[in-house]
Amino acid sequence: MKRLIAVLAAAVIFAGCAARPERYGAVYTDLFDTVTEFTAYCSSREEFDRLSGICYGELKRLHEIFDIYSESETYGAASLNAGKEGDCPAELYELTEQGINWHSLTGGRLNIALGSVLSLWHDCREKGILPDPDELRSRAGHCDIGKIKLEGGRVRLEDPEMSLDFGAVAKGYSAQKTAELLINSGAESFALNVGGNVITYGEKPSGKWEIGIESPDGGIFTTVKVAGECVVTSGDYQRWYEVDGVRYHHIIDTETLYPAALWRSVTVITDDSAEADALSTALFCMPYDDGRALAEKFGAEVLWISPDGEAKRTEGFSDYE
Amino acid sequence: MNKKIKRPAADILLICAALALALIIYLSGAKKEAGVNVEVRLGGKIYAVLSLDEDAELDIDGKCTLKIEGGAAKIVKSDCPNGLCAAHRPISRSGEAIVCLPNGVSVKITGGGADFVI
Repeated sequence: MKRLIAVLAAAVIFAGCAARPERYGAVYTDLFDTVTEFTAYCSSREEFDRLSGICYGELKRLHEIFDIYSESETYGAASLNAGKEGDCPAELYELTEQGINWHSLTGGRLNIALGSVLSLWHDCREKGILPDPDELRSRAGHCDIGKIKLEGGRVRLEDPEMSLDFGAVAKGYSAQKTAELLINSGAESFALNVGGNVITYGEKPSGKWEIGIESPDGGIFTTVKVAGECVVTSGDYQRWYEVDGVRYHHIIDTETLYPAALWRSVTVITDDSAEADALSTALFCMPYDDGRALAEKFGAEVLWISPDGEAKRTEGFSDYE
Repeated sequence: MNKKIKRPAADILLICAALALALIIYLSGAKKEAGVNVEVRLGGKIYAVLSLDEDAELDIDGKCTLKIEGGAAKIVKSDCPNGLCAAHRPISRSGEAIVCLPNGVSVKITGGGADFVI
């Protein structure tokens, strides 16, 4: 009998010592005009709260730099667009530099200098009306990426009518920077979803992270399993408004100046979240052959869903499904 | 004499039994994720966790009304200006979410299946 008690006690002690990391989650709704979800496996609530604090703090800092409507004191995209001089944060300089590079890589499909056109769409969305076509065209005359000057760690806009908009790249870039900080802070297993830009690190105790890809008409189209990769979807169903029964979504084609209509959604899997974010927006506005060539250049895996619901995939995409 | 020689073997057997039992206790802890829930958050903090299997209506801080019916969750009413959340189709699969940004409300299906749906 004594032995039996000893065995039971030992069993409980052994099981207790091997503390299984538990799943914790936090949601932030005041960043990047979207919802951010941070999920991590940690040995204690205190450990999770520490990581969540680091995660929120870093995202908030980057949000203030890239938010073009920011009223914060920090020098960022809003101050730059307003023509103010100031100490340019390294991240603003770096993402502007990357944006210029993306413009040439995507044949202009991704243009961070499209701010004047996008702000017109933004104002019209708020009012529930459509932009005036002449006004759109006149604003498109102030989107020349060549007028962004990078000098001595500063960004300068040569055309006072132009403005930068980091909406297509800031979430992915910020998720990447934040994930790097979390890893350096001791995080071992987490997934961060900044408005559809998912970045994963490590695995769950039960295996890889599972990311459902929404079907444009509802339900889940497919699920991808990742551990360390980034997954981003650009879709016409994510953000939209309606005028006279017609839906207008938020991804504006740089050539037509209207919502891109080639695809319902484009999902990209790569190792870098900034790259995945930029690629998904660019591919959303590109025909299949051009998009495929661009994806191959980056070694990205892609899923395209066309307006008739048909799916196209790069060869390696199905390895994740 | 004979009995004394057998003692270490019996001890080893007991230690093995203890380890096996520990493994069973440890693994049973991992099986708790069953059951599909609806997690409601307000301003990022958990406001309520409801079962998707049970029909319910929840007033979220006077801002949105959540309805769970027939194994699906939907926001049926919202005082937000754009009404995108109330226009969202009902959700029922793990990882799916409905969000009302102006009110800081999120409703998500959790437990089993996908971690996120994008």
